[in-house]
Amino acid sequence: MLTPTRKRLMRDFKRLQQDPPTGINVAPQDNNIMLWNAVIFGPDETPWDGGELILALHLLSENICEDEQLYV
Amino acid sequence: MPEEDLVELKFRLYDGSDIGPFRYSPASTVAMLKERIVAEWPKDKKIVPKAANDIKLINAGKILENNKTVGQCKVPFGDLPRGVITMHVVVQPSLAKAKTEKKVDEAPKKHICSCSIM
Repeated sequence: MLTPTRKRLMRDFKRLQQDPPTGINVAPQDNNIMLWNAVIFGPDETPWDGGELILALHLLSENICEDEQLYV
Repeated sequence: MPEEDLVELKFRLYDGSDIGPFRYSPASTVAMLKERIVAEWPKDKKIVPKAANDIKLINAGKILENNKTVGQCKVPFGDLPRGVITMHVVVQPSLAKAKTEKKVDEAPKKHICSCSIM
């Protein structure tokens, strides 16, 4: 079922594919737009410098608004 | 080999600049991509990897293993025909840290037992 949330997520994903930001690499898992794999590169001069944070983002809400930002 | 089978790949570095795009067959391995990236690395960067093992490739939210092929690393929902896939490149810390000054504590470590026997 293509809810507005899923449409929003697909749109965000396409945008991320076309111009990926440098600090993160993120994509949904196969066949499930509500479950994403993400790698955040450790920012310089932080305890995570030189490393990678490997995350799985499980989106629970089907009610993500248009303007809502997701913060990790 | 028909042209349509080739995948176009671009590699984004830590500072936002890109290497590529290059075309690869889906059977190319990640190790081959790394070799190419090291060969094409811009020489004017602060950090320059010396070998393929100095870098990590990240795509689709996963760190790619050397023995995987390009075809196996395809992005899901990847309905960008003729679109360029951008992967991230990270340089291993052992190489990066070699460029900075080592702040090693030179004082010899004394092995003193600190338990007290009451």
